[in-house]
Amino acid sequence: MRREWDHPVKTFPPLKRKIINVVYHWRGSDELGPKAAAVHLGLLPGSTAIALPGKLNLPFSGGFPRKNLGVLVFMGRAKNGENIYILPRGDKPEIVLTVIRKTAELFKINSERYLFIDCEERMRLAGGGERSDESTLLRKMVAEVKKGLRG
Amino acid sequence: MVAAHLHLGTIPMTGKVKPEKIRSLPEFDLGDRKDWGSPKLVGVDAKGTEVYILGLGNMTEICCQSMISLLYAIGKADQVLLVETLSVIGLLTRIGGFTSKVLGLQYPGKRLAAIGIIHSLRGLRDLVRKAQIYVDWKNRDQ
Repeated sequence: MRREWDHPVKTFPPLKRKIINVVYHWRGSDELGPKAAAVHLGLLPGSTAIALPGKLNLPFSGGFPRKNLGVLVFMGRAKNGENIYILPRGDKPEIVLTVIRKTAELFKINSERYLFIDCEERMRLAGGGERSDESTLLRKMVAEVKKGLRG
Repeated sequence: MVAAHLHLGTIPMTGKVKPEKIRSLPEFDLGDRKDWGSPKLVGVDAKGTEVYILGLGNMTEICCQSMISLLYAIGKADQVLLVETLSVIGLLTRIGGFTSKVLGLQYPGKRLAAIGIIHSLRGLRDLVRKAQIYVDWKNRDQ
């Protein structure tokens, strides 16, 4: 049933570039998001041939406390121009991502400009069933995201 | 939803309100899980302020953080005021909502919820009054 208070379908002008904001989101309890952003920004080696040192030079290392979950953090601009954000979103991504998309649309910002990457899910897929360590999977995931942005 | 109607003047800011009036509101008891996270425009007040409702389930804090940080990122943080209403809603309304939505007993559920809202009206009016004062101050400031 359509309700009076449902929004009419919005149309947006065509995008000059498809994606300009990449949001790496994860549960927030560890440093997966900041690590993915650092790899995307070229601050950590993207090549899986180079081992990552144990202690990394990362902001938000150790993750986010529960009271700070949901905060969208700008991490930097990548070489190809896309803005990189991280979003520690807790256990239920759907509602948080809906809020962000709908809020953007309220201000006539096409939510397709935001590419949301579920780090846990994408790393699982990047593994393809093979056993790999976390940093290898993470770098594979970021490489696939970058490939997707170019294509 | 009732707070939005208080703001818009559909429900008066003073005096008694009957439960039937609450039940007759077009959005009453219509929102469900699939609406969570999507702001719905209820109306525009006399001063031109758009009034929305937004259901967030049990993710209120995280979602508000996301919304506010996005608004800061796009430079629109001064254009939105989020007002949390659940804290002034009493147990009766929650039981009514549960009865209607979860148990599927709409008739008693809606009635209980409406009576509960009448009991919470003072707190809701107080919230709306504070929000209106803030918006007026904001509009004068800009």
